[in-house]
Amino acid sequence: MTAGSVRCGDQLKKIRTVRNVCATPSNVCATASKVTRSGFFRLGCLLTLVILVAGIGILVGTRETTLPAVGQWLDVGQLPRSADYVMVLAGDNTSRPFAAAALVKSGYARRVLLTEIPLSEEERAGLRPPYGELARRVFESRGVERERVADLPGECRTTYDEARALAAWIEDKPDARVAVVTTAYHTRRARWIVQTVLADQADQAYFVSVPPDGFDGSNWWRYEEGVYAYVREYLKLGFYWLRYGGVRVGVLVALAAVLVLAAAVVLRRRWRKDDAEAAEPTLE
Amino acid sequence: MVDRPPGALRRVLGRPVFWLIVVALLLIALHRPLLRGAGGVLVVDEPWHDGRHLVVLPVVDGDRWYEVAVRWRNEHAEGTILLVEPYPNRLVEHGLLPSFVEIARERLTQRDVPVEAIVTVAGEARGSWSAASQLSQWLKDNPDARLDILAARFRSRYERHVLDQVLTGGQAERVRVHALPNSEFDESDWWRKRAAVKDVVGEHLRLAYAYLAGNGESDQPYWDVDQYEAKLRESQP
Repeated sequence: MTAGSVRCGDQLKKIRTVRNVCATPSNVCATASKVTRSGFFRLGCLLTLVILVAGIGILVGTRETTLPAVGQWLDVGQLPRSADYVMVLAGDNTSRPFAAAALVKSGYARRVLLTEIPLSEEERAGLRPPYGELARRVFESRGVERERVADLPGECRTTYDEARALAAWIEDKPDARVAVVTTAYHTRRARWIVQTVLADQADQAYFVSVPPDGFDGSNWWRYEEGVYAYVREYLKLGFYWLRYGGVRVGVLVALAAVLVLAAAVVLRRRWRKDDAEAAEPTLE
Repeated sequence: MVDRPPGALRRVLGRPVFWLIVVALLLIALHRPLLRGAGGVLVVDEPWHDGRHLVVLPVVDGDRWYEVAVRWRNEHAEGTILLVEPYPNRLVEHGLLPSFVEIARERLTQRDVPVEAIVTVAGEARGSWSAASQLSQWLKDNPDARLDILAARFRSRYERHVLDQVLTGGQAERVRVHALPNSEFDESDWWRKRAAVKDVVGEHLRLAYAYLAGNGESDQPYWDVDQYEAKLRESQP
Protein backbone atom coordinates (compact mmCIF):
# COMPACT_ATOMS: atom_id res chain seq x y z
CA MET A 1 0.00 0.00 0.00
CA THR A 2 1.45 3.31 -0.95
CA ALA A 3 1.55 6.29 1.30
CA GLY A 4 -0.83 8.05 -1.08
CA SER A 5 -3.44 5.33 -0.87
CA VAL A 6 -3.22 5.39 2.92
CA ARG A 7 -3.87 9.14 2.95
CA CYS A 8 -6.78 8.62 0.57
CA GLY A 9 -8.22 5.87 2.71
CA ASP A 10 -7.94 8.10 5.82
CA GLN A 11 -9.75 10.90 4.07
CA LEU A 12 -12.54 8.51 3.04
CA LYS A 13 -12.85 7.37 6.63
CA LYS A 14 -13.03 10.96 7.78
CA ILE A 15 -15.77 11.74 5.31
CA ARG A 16 -17.68 8.62 6.32
CA THR A 17 -17.34 9.60 9.95
CA VAL A 18 -18.73 13.04 9.22
CA ARG A 19 -21.61 11.57 7.26
CA ASN A 20 -22.26 9.08 10.02
CA VAL A 21 -22.48 11.88 12.50
CA CYS A 22 -25.24 13.19 10.29
CA ALA A 23 -27.20 10.03 11.16
CA THR A 24 -27.74 8.13 7.98
CA PRO A 25 -29.98 7.39 6.14
CA SER A 26 -29.50 10.56 4.13
CA ASN A 27 -33.13 11.71 4.10
CA VAL A 28 -32.86 12.27 7.83
CA CYS A 29 -30.02 14.67 7.08
CA ALA A 30 -32.20 16.46 4.50
CA THR A 31 -35.02 16.69 6.98
CA ALA A 32 -32.62 18.21 9.46
CA SER A 33 -31.65 20.78 6.85
CA LYS A 34 -35.30 21.59 6.19
CA VAL A 35 -35.83 21.89 9.89
CA THR A 36 -32.90 24.33 10.04
CA ARG A 37 -34.34 26.35 7.18
CA SER A 38 -37.88 26.46 8.52
CA GLY A 39 -36.39 26.92 11.94
CA PHE A 40 -34.77 30.14 10.71
CA PHE A 41 -38.11 31.32 9.40
CA ARG A 42 -39.96 30.36 12.53
CA LEU A 43 -37.31 31.92 14.71
CA GLY A 44 -37.55 35.12 12.65
CA CYS A 45 -41.34 35.20 12.94
CA LEU A 46 -41.19 34.45 16.63
CA LEU A 47 -38.59 37.12 17.25
CA THR A 48 -40.58 39.70 15.29
CA LEU A 49 -43.71 38.78 17.23
CA VAL A 50 -41.88 38.91 20.54
CA ILE A 51 -40.34 42.29 19.69
CA LEU A 52 -43.73 43.65 18.57
CA VAL A 53 -45.61 42.37 21.60
CA ALA A 54 -42.83 43.44 23.93
CA GLY A 55 -42.73 46.88 22.27
CA ILE A 56 -46.47 47.37 22.63
CA GLY A 57 -46.37 45.95 26.13
CA ILE A 58 -43.55 48.23 27.18
CA LEU A 59 -45.32 51.23 25.62
CA VAL A 60 -48.60 50.41 27.38
CA GLY A 61 -46.97 49.44 30.64
CA THR A 62 -44.71 52.44 30.80
CA ARG A 63 -47.01 54.89 29.03
CA GLU A 64 -46.86 57.33 31.90
CA THR A 65 -43.12 57.71 31.32
CA THR A 66 -42.74 56.77 27.64
CA LEU A 67 -45.55 58.72 26.04
CA PRO A 68 -44.69 62.04 27.71
CA ALA A 69 -41.17 61.58 26.34
CA VAL A 70 -42.62 60.83 22.89
CA GLY A 71 -44.70 64.00 23.09
CA GLN A 72 -42.03 66.22 24.58
CA TRP A 73 -39.46 65.12 22.02
CA LEU A 74 -41.35 67.14 19.44
CA ASP A 75 -41.05 70.32 21.50
CA VAL A 76 -37.70 71.99 20.91
CA GLY A 77 -38.85 75.48 21.84
CA GLN A 78 -36.40 77.64 23.72
CA LEU A 79 -36.78 80.23 26.44
CA PRO A 80 -37.58 83.59 24.90
CA ARG A 81 -34.65 85.93 24.38
CA SER A 82 -34.22 89.23 22.69
CA ALA A 83 -34.90 89.30 18.93
CA ASP A 84 -35.57 91.91 16.28
CA TYR A 85 -38.55 90.14 14.80
CA VAL A 86 -41.09 87.58 15.83
CA MET A 87 -42.30 85.40 12.98
CA VAL A 88 -45.67 83.71 13.36
CA LEU A 89 -46.00 80.42 11.50
CA ALA A 90 -49.46 80.01 9.99
CA GLY A 91 -51.70 77.18 11.04
CA ASP A 92 -53.32 77.91 14.38
CA ASN A 93 -54.48 81.46 14.51
CA THR A 94 -56.41 80.96 17.74
CA SER A 95 -53.18 80.83 19.74
CA ARG A 96 -49.96 81.61 17.84
CA PRO A 97 -50.67 85.32 17.17
CA PHE A 98 -51.64 85.80 20.85
CA ALA A 99 -48.30 84.33 21.96
CA ALA A 100 -46.41 86.45 19.42
CA ALA A 101 -48.20 89.59 20.62
CA ALA A 102 -47.23 88.70 24.20
CA LEU A 103 -43.57 88.43 23.14
CA VAL A 104 -43.66 91.87 21.51
CA LYS A 105 -45.45 93.45 24.43
CA SER A 106 -42.99 91.93 26.90
CA GLY A 107 -40.13 93.51 25.01
CA TYR A 108 -38.62 90.36 23.49
CA ALA A 109 -39.11 91.59 19.93
CA ARG A 110 -39.92 94.83 18.17
CA ARG A 111 -41.68 93.79 14.99
CA VAL A 112 -43.86 90.98 13.71
CA LEU A 113 -43.53 88.99 10.49
CA LEU A 114 -46.56 87.23 9.03
CA THR A 115 -46.58 84.83 6.12
CA GLU A 116 -49.07 85.07 3.29
CA ILE A 117 -51.26 82.03 2.92
CA PRO A 118 -53.96 81.27 0.34
CA LEU A 119 -57.57 81.85 1.33
CA SER A 120 -59.35 78.91 2.95
CA GLU A 121 -62.86 77.88 1.90
CA GLU A 122 -64.27 79.65 4.95
CA GLU A 123 -62.37 82.82 4.09
CA ARG A 124 -63.42 82.71 0.44
CA ALA A 125 -67.03 82.38 1.57
CA GLY A 126 -66.60 85.42 3.83
CA LEU A 127 -67.29 83.38 6.96
CA ARG A 128 -64.16 84.76 8.55
CA PRO A 129 -61.57 87.38 7.63
CA PRO A 130 -58.38 86.31 5.84
CA TYR A 131 -55.59 84.97 8.07
CA GLY A 132 -53.42 88.09 7.79
CA GLU A 133 -56.26 90.41 8.70
CA LEU A 134 -57.38 88.26 11.62
CA ALA A 135 -53.82 88.08 12.96
CA ARG A 136 -53.55 91.88 12.72
CA ARG A 137 -56.78 92.19 14.69
CA VAL A 138 -55.27 89.95 17.36
CA PHE A 139 -52.13 92.12 17.55
CA GLU A 140 -54.19 95.29 17.71
CA SER A 141 -56.42 93.88 20.43
CA ARG A 142 -53.33 92.98 22.46
CA GLY A 143 -51.78 96.43 22.08
CA VAL A 144 -49.36 95.87 19.20
CA GLU A 145 -49.77 98.57 16.55
CA ARG A 146 -50.50 97.55 12.96
CA GLU A 147 -47.37 99.41 11.78
CA ARG A 148 -45.23 96.88 13.62
CA VAL A 149 -46.68 93.99 11.63
CA ALA A 150 -45.23 93.18 8.19
CA ASP A 151 -45.89 90.49 5.60
CA LEU A 152 -43.16 88.19 4.30
CA PRO A 153 -43.51 88.19 0.51
CA GLY A 154 -44.50 84.96 -1.22
CA GLU A 155 -47.54 82.76 -0.88
CA CYS A 156 -46.99 79.87 1.54
CA ARG A 157 -48.90 76.60 1.64
CA THR A 158 -46.58 74.59 3.88
CA THR A 159 -44.01 75.10 6.63
CA TYR A 160 -41.36 74.50 3.98
CA ASP A 161 -42.73 77.44 1.95
CA GLU A 162 -42.62 79.58 5.09
CA ALA A 163 -38.99 78.61 5.69
CA ARG A 164 -38.18 79.59 2.12
CA ALA A 165 -39.96 82.91 2.51
CA LEU A 166 -37.91 83.58 5.66
CA ALA A 167 -34.69 82.55 3.90
CA ALA A 168 -35.35 84.93 0.99
CA TRP A 169 -36.17 87.77 3.36
CA ILE A 170 -33.27 87.26 5.78
CA GLU A 171 -30.65 86.80 3.04
CA ASP A 172 -29.59 90.47 3.04
CA LYS A 173 -30.10 90.95 6.79
CA PRO A 174 -27.16 89.17 8.42
CA ASP A 175 -27.74 90.86 11.78
CA ALA A 176 -31.46 90.24 12.08
CA ARG A 177 -32.53 87.90 14.91
CA VAL A 178 -35.89 86.17 14.49
CA ALA A 179 -37.98 84.39 17.11
CA VAL A 180 -40.15 81.87 15.28
CA VAL A 181 -43.42 81.23 17.09
CA THR A 182 -45.36 78.02 16.60
CA THR A 183 -47.29 75.37 18.51
CA ALA A 184 -45.11 73.22 20.79
CA TYR A 185 -45.49 69.93 18.88
CA HIS A 186 -44.71 71.68 15.60
CA THR A 187 -41.37 73.17 16.74
CA ARG A 188 -39.16 70.19 15.89
CA ARG A 189 -40.34 69.93 12.29
CA ALA A 190 -40.34 73.71 11.89
CA ARG A 191 -36.83 74.04 13.35
CA TRP A 192 -35.50 71.24 11.16
CA ILE A 193 -36.88 72.69 7.96
CA VAL A 194 -35.89 76.28 8.83
CA GLN A 195 -32.35 75.19 9.69
CA THR A 196 -32.16 73.14 6.50
CA VAL A 197 -33.36 75.99 4.31
CA LEU A 198 -31.50 78.80 6.08
CA ALA A 199 -28.24 76.79 6.11
CA ASP A 200 -25.47 79.25 7.08
CA GLN A 201 -27.97 81.75 8.48
CA ALA A 202 -29.76 79.15 10.62
CA ASP A 203 -28.41 80.60 13.87
CA GLN A 204 -30.30 83.84 13.21
CA ALA A 205 -33.57 82.07 14.07
CA TYR A 206 -34.69 80.41 17.29
CA PHE A 207 -38.00 78.83 18.28
CA VAL A 208 -40.61 79.68 20.88
CA SER A 209 -43.24 77.07 21.78
CA VAL A 210 -46.88 78.00 22.13
CA PRO A 211 -48.81 75.57 24.34
CA PRO A 212 -51.64 73.73 22.58
CA ASP A 213 -55.16 74.11 24.02
CA GLY A 214 -56.67 71.29 26.08
CA PHE A 215 -53.59 69.03 26.26
CA ASP A 216 -49.80 69.16 26.11
CA GLY A 217 -46.76 66.97 25.59
CA SER A 218 -47.15 65.34 29.01
CA ASN A 219 -50.72 64.08 28.55
CA TRP A 220 -51.49 64.16 24.80
CA TRP A 221 -52.47 60.45 24.51
CA ARG A 222 -55.34 60.92 26.97
CA TYR A 223 -57.23 63.21 24.62
CA GLU A 224 -58.58 62.62 21.16
CA GLU A 225 -57.34 65.98 19.91
CA GLY A 226 -53.94 65.27 21.43
CA VAL A 227 -53.60 61.94 19.63
CA TYR A 228 -54.85 63.57 16.45
CA ALA A 229 -52.27 66.35 16.71
CA TYR A 230 -49.23 64.37 17.86
CA VAL A 231 -49.61 61.30 15.63
CA ARG A 232 -50.25 63.51 12.62
CA GLU A 233 -47.19 65.55 13.51
CA TYR A 234 -45.00 62.43 13.62
CA LEU A 235 -46.35 61.39 10.21
CA LYS A 236 -45.61 64.85 8.83
CA LEU A 237 -42.14 64.79 10.34
CA GLY A 238 -41.42 61.49 8.58
CA PHE A 239 -42.77 62.87 5.35
CA TYR A 240 -40.65 66.01 5.67
CA TRP A 241 -37.47 64.03 6.31
CA LEU A 242 -38.07 61.94 3.23
CA ARG A 243 -39.28 64.83 1.06
CA TYR A 244 -36.79 67.51 2.06
CA GLY A 245 -34.05 65.51 3.75
CA GLY A 246 -31.77 65.67 0.73
CA VAL A 247 -28.52 63.70 0.60
CA ARG A 248 -28.20 62.91 4.30
CA VAL A 249 -31.59 61.23 4.60
CA GLY A 250 -31.07 59.62 1.18
CA VAL A 251 -27.81 58.07 2.41
CA LEU A 252 -29.49 56.83 5.61
CA VAL A 253 -32.37 55.25 3.67
CA ALA A 254 -29.91 53.71 1.21
CA LEU A 255 -27.80 52.32 4.08
CA ALA A 256 -30.87 50.79 5.68
CA ALA A 257 -31.86 49.25 2.34
CA VAL A 258 -28.33 47.85 1.83
CA LEU A 259 -28.35 46.35 5.34
CA VAL A 260 -31.71 44.66 4.75
CA LEU A 261 -30.53 43.35 1.36
CA ALA A 262 -27.26 42.11 2.82
CA ALA A 263 -29.13 40.29 5.57
CA ALA A 264 -31.43 38.73 2.95
CA VAL A 265 -28.43 37.60 0.85
CA VAL A 266 -26.64 36.08 3.85
CA LEU A 267 -29.76 34.17 4.88
CA ARG A 268 -30.35 33.01 1.32
CA ARG A 269 -26.77 31.69 1.02
CA ARG A 270 -27.13 29.92 4.34
CA TRP A 271 -30.34 28.25 3.20
CA ARG A 272 -28.85 27.26 -0.16
CA LYS A 273 -25.87 25.75 1.61
CA ASP A 274 -28.20 23.75 3.81
CA ASP A 275 -30.14 22.60 0.73
CA ALA A 276 -26.96 21.61 -1.10
CA GLU A 277 -25.75 19.62 1.87
CA ALA A 278 -29.09 17.90 2.12
CA ALA A 279 -29.10 17.03 -1.60
CA GLU A 280 -25.54 15.68 -1.66
CA PRO A 281 -25.50 11.82 -1.59
CA THR A 282 -23.50 10.13 1.16
CA LEU A 283 -20.50 7.98 0.33
CA GLU A 284 -22.10 4.88 1.79
CA MET B 1 -32.78 7.85 -0.52
CA VAL B 2 -31.84 11.46 -1.29
CA ASP B 3 -34.30 14.40 -1.31
CA ARG B 4 -34.57 15.92 -4.75
CA PRO B 5 -33.96 19.68 -4.95
CA PRO B 6 -37.24 21.64 -5.14
CA GLY B 7 -38.62 22.34 -8.62
CA ALA B 8 -38.05 25.66 -10.33
CA LEU B 9 -41.60 26.84 -9.68
CA ARG B 10 -41.37 25.89 -6.05
CA ARG B 11 -38.06 27.69 -5.77
CA VAL B 12 -39.53 30.85 -7.28
CA LEU B 13 -42.66 30.69 -5.13
CA GLY B 14 -40.49 30.25 -2.08
CA ARG B 15 -38.65 33.48 -2.64
CA PRO B 16 -39.73 36.44 -0.51
CA VAL B 17 -38.67 38.80 -3.31
CA PHE B 18 -41.18 37.12 -5.61
CA TRP B 19 -43.98 37.68 -3.12
CA LEU B 20 -42.89 41.24 -2.51
CA ILE B 21 -43.13 41.91 -6.25
CA VAL B 22 -46.54 40.20 -6.41
CA VAL B 23 -47.84 42.29 -3.50
CA ALA B 24 -46.42 45.49 -5.04
CA LEU B 25 -48.01 44.70 -8.41
CA LEU B 26 -51.33 43.92 -6.76
CA LEU B 27 -51.19 47.16 -4.81
CA ILE B 28 -50.45 49.11 -7.98
CA ALA B 29 -53.18 47.36 -9.94
CA LEU B 30 -55.76 47.65 -7.18
CA HIS B 31 -54.79 51.03 -5.77
CA ARG B 32 -58.00 52.70 -6.87
CA PRO B 33 -60.46 50.30 -5.22
CA LEU B 34 -58.21 50.07 -2.15
CA LEU B 35 -57.95 53.82 -1.71
CA ARG B 36 -61.61 54.27 -2.52
CA GLY B 37 -62.34 51.75 0.21
CA ALA B 38 -60.07 53.54 2.66
CA GLY B 39 -62.00 56.78 2.06
CA GLY B 40 -65.40 55.13 1.80
CA VAL B 41 -65.11 53.44 5.16
CA LEU B 42 -65.20 56.89 6.77
CA VAL B 43 -68.46 57.89 5.11
CA VAL B 44 -71.96 57.27 6.39
CA ASP B 45 -74.83 58.72 4.39
CA GLU B 46 -78.20 57.63 5.69
CA PRO B 47 -81.59 58.16 4.03
CA TRP B 48 -83.33 61.37 4.99
CA HIS B 49 -86.15 61.43 7.52
CA ASP B 50 -89.27 63.13 6.37
CA GLY B 51 -88.73 64.87 9.69
CA ARG B 52 -88.70 68.54 10.47
CA HIS B 53 -85.38 69.19 12.15
CA LEU B 54 -82.02 69.66 10.52
CA VAL B 55 -78.90 69.94 12.68
CA VAL B 56 -75.84 71.95 11.75
CA LEU B 57 -72.85 71.01 13.93
CA PRO B 58 -70.19 73.62 14.75
CA VAL B 59 -67.62 72.19 12.35
CA VAL B 60 -68.67 74.32 9.39
CA ASP B 61 -65.72 74.86 7.04
CA GLY B 62 -67.43 76.52 4.12
CA ASP B 63 -70.58 78.04 2.74
CA ARG B 64 -71.86 74.75 1.35
CA TRP B 65 -73.21 73.84 4.77
CA TYR B 66 -75.54 76.79 4.70
CA GLU B 67 -76.44 76.18 1.06
CA VAL B 68 -77.57 72.65 1.92
CA ALA B 69 -79.45 73.90 5.00
CA VAL B 70 -81.24 76.58 2.98
CA ARG B 71 -82.13 74.09 0.22
CA TRP B 72 -83.50 71.73 2.85
CA ARG B 73 -85.51 74.53 4.42
CA ASN B 74 -86.99 75.45 1.04
CA GLU B 75 -88.21 71.86 0.71
CA HIS B 76 -89.52 71.73 4.29
CA ALA B 77 -91.51 74.89 4.86
CA GLU B 78 -92.21 73.90 8.47
CA GLY B 79 -88.65 72.78 9.11
CA THR B 80 -86.42 73.99 11.90
CA ILE B 81 -82.68 74.32 11.68
CA LEU B 82 -80.85 73.49 14.91
CA LEU B 83 -77.45 75.05 15.59
CA VAL B 84 -75.31 73.32 18.21
CA GLU B 85 -73.54 75.96 20.28
CA PRO B 86 -69.78 75.34 20.67
CA TYR B 87 -67.26 76.28 23.34
CA PRO B 88 -65.98 79.71 22.37
CA ASN B 89 -62.45 79.70 21.01
CA ARG B 90 -59.94 82.40 21.91
CA LEU B 91 -60.81 84.61 18.93
CA VAL B 92 -64.50 84.57 19.86
CA GLU B 93 -63.71 85.02 23.55
CA HIS B 94 -61.72 88.17 22.77
CA GLY B 95 -64.48 89.55 20.55
CA LEU B 96 -62.39 89.29 17.38
CA LEU B 97 -64.79 86.94 15.61
CA PRO B 98 -68.52 86.44 15.94
CA SER B 99 -69.54 83.09 17.36
CA PHE B 100 -70.56 80.14 15.21
CA VAL B 101 -74.22 80.66 16.12
CA GLU B 102 -74.08 84.37 15.19
CA ILE B 103 -72.43 83.64 11.83
CA ALA B 104 -74.84 80.81 11.04
CA ARG B 105 -77.89 82.88 11.92
CA GLU B 106 -76.68 85.72 9.75
CA ARG B 107 -75.92 83.40 6.80
CA LEU B 108 -79.29 81.68 7.01
CA THR B 109 -81.43 84.77 7.49
CA GLN B 110 -79.62 86.47 4.58
CA ARG B 111 -80.99 83.62 2.45
CA ASP B 112 -84.56 84.12 3.62
CA VAL B 113 -84.67 81.52 6.36
CA PRO B 114 -87.02 83.04 8.97
CA VAL B 115 -85.45 83.78 12.35
CA GLU B 116 -88.08 81.63 14.12
CA ALA B 117 -86.96 78.61 12.04
CA ILE B 118 -83.49 78.73 13.60
CA VAL B 119 -83.04 77.22 17.05
CA THR B 120 -79.88 77.16 19.14
CA VAL B 121 -79.11 74.01 21.11
CA ALA B 122 -77.41 75.70 24.02
CA GLY B 123 -74.21 74.44 25.57
CA GLU B 124 -70.46 74.54 25.16
CA ALA B 125 -69.58 71.72 22.80
CA ARG B 126 -65.80 71.11 22.80
CA GLY B 127 -66.26 68.39 20.19
CA SER B 128 -68.64 65.80 18.84
CA TRP B 129 -69.11 64.01 22.17
CA SER B 130 -70.38 67.07 24.01
CA ALA B 131 -72.38 68.13 20.93
CA ALA B 132 -74.07 64.72 21.05
CA SER B 133 -74.82 65.24 24.75
CA GLN B 134 -76.45 68.57 23.94
CA LEU B 135 -78.55 66.89 21.24
CA SER B 136 -79.44 64.08 23.66
CA GLN B 137 -80.86 66.61 26.08
CA TRP B 138 -82.76 68.33 23.28
CA LEU B 139 -84.22 64.99 22.12
CA LYS B 140 -85.31 64.29 25.68
CA ASP B 141 -87.13 67.61 25.74
CA ASN B 142 -88.70 66.92 22.33
CA PRO B 143 -89.69 63.25 22.48
CA ASP B 144 -91.40 63.17 19.08
CA ALA B 145 -88.71 64.94 17.12
CA ARG B 146 -86.41 63.21 14.64
CA LEU B 147 -83.17 64.74 13.50
CA ASP B 148 -81.23 64.90 10.26
CA ILE B 149 -77.62 65.82 11.00
CA LEU B 150 -75.21 67.32 8.48
CA ALA B 151 -71.69 65.99 8.86
CA ALA B 152 -68.39 66.61 7.10
CA ARG B 153 -68.03 63.83 4.53
CA PHE B 154 -65.04 61.97 5.95
CA ARG B 155 -66.15 62.56 9.53
CA SER B 156 -69.64 61.16 9.09
CA ARG B 157 -68.86 57.64 10.35
CA TYR B 158 -67.16 59.12 13.39
CA GLU B 159 -70.21 61.30 14.09
CA ARG B 160 -72.49 58.27 13.73
CA HIS B 161 -70.33 56.28 16.14
CA VAL B 162 -70.31 59.08 18.71
CA LEU B 163 -74.10 59.50 18.45
CA ASP B 164 -74.57 55.75 18.91
CA GLN B 165 -72.42 55.87 22.06
CA VAL B 166 -73.98 58.96 23.61
CA LEU B 167 -77.67 58.77 22.65
CA THR B 168 -79.61 56.32 24.79
CA GLY B 169 -83.11 54.90 25.12
CA GLY B 170 -83.94 54.73 21.41
CA GLN B 171 -82.65 58.26 20.72
CA ALA B 172 -79.99 56.99 18.31
CA GLU B 173 -82.66 55.63 15.94
CA ARG B 174 -84.29 59.06 15.81
CA VAL B 175 -81.14 60.54 14.36
CA ARG B 176 -79.76 60.17 10.85
CA VAL B 177 -76.40 61.35 9.61
CA HIS B 178 -75.84 62.81 6.15
CA ALA B 179 -72.38 63.12 4.64
CA LEU B 180 -72.04 66.54 3.10
CA PRO B 181 -70.48 66.42 -0.36
CA ASN B 182 -67.23 68.30 -0.80
CA SER B 183 -66.84 70.13 -4.09
CA GLU B 184 -63.08 69.49 -4.27
CA PHE B 185 -62.77 65.78 -3.48
CA ASP B 186 -64.62 62.66 -2.37
CA GLU B 187 -63.99 58.94 -1.84
CA SER B 188 -63.15 58.40 -5.51
CA ASP B 189 -60.23 60.83 -5.74
CA TRP B 190 -59.16 61.97 -2.26
CA TRP B 191 -55.57 60.71 -2.69
CA ARG B 192 -54.90 63.25 -5.40
CA LYS B 193 -55.28 66.29 -3.10
CA ARG B 194 -52.92 67.08 -0.29
CA ALA B 195 -55.66 68.56 1.90
CA ALA B 196 -57.83 65.50 1.34
CA VAL B 197 -55.01 63.13 2.28
CA LYS B 198 -54.50 65.03 5.53
CA ASP B 199 -58.24 64.90 6.11
CA VAL B 200 -58.57 61.16 5.49
CA VAL B 201 -55.52 60.24 7.59
CA GLY B 202 -56.71 62.50 10.41
CA GLU B 203 -60.23 61.11 10.36
CA HIS B 204 -58.95 57.52 10.44
CA LEU B 205 -56.96 58.45 13.54
CA ARG B 206 -59.97 60.13 15.13
CA LEU B 207 -62.24 57.16 14.36
CA ALA B 208 -59.70 54.64 15.65
CA TYR B 209 -59.33 56.60 18.88
CA ALA B 210 -63.11 56.81 19.31
CA TYR B 211 -63.52 53.04 18.78
CA LEU B 212 -60.64 52.11 21.05
CA ALA B 213 -60.78 54.71 23.81
CA GLY B 214 -64.26 56.24 23.64
CA ASN B 215 -64.78 59.81 24.71
CA GLY B 216 -61.43 61.57 24.74
CA GLU B 217 -62.65 65.12 24.85
CA SER B 218 -60.53 67.44 26.95
CA ASP B 219 -62.20 69.55 29.60
CA GLN B 220 -59.07 71.50 30.42
CA PRO B 221 -59.51 75.25 30.01
CA TYR B 222 -57.65 77.00 27.21
CA TRP B 223 -54.47 78.75 28.31
CA ASP B 224 -54.93 82.30 29.46
CA VAL B 225 -53.35 85.03 27.33
CA ASP B 226 -52.91 87.49 30.19
CA GLN B 227 -51.21 84.91 32.40
CA TYR B 228 -48.93 83.91 29.52
CA GLU B 229 -47.94 87.53 29.00
CA ALA B 230 -47.39 88.08 32.74
CA LYS B 231 -45.06 85.06 32.85
CA LEU B 232 -43.07 86.43 29.93
CA ARG B 233 -42.71 89.78 31.65
CA GLU B 234 -41.50 88.07 34.82
CA SER B 235 -38.87 86.12 32.94
CA GLN B 236 -37.64 89.20 31.07
CA PRO B 237 -34.08 89.90 32.30
